Amino acid sequence: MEQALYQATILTFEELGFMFPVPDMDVLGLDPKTSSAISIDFKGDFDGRLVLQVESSMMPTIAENMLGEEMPVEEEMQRDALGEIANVICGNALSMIAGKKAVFKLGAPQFMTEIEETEDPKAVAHFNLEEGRAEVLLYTRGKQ
Amino acid sequence: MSFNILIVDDSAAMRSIISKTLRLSGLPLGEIHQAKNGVEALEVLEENWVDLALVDINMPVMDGETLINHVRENPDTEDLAIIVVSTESSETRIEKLLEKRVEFIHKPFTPETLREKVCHLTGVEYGTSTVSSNNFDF
Repeated sequence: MEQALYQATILTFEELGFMFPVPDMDVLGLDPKTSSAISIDFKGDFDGRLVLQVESSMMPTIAENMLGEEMPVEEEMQRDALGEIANVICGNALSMIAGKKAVFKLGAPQFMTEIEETEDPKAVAHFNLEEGRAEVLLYTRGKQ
Repeated sequence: MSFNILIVDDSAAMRSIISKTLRLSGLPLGEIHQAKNGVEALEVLEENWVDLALVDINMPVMDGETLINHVRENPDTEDLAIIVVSTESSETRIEKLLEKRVEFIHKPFTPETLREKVCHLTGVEYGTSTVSSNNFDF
């Protein structure tokens, strides 16, 4: 499961964001005060939620890289860009975990104003990028 | 001759990426319309001539699959060239979509992949504005 998070995240950042995440062995989570997070709920062979959290200072660069903009990108578009990254990571990771026959329905990306989860994630992947740190957390319910 | 294109995706960022890639594709472009769900897309199709639609699947209000069904059921739009651009990985769902006469691009995609697929479907040679002999009859 963790392997799928690493693979899907690296692929997505490279191809959509032209950014190159390197797995980070430092398991300390990001500071919620200086981070931005997007969540995607999903239903299918099993249900759950994927959360992508990045250092907030990375948000403009992610959007600018994705959109090929040299001018500053407005905040709403920055969130939208991060949401699309999370969406693609989620779709690809679920397929790696559950196989190509599995069917999942993904919800719309939700920007999280407060990062709090009552349960521990089933899998976490940490990354270092040139622009900052990121992590992906997968919460699941039901049978996998 | 130029192609009018409709991009349907609930993400403004993704619509912008696709639009930018199209402009770099060498495709002779006419109007590029955008819609953030299937209902908006049907409204655009009602009022405009569109040659090619790039359609996401997971969208609020009306998803891409329902949109494609509506398009194929309408005699005015039944032959519209459609490329599905989606994170969908389920072989079952992709096979079902392909039965609706669409091409499929999996996200994440490189700009080259999108360009190649669009050029293939429209008959425009990659990187040029030349329409080949086995082009679609728009």
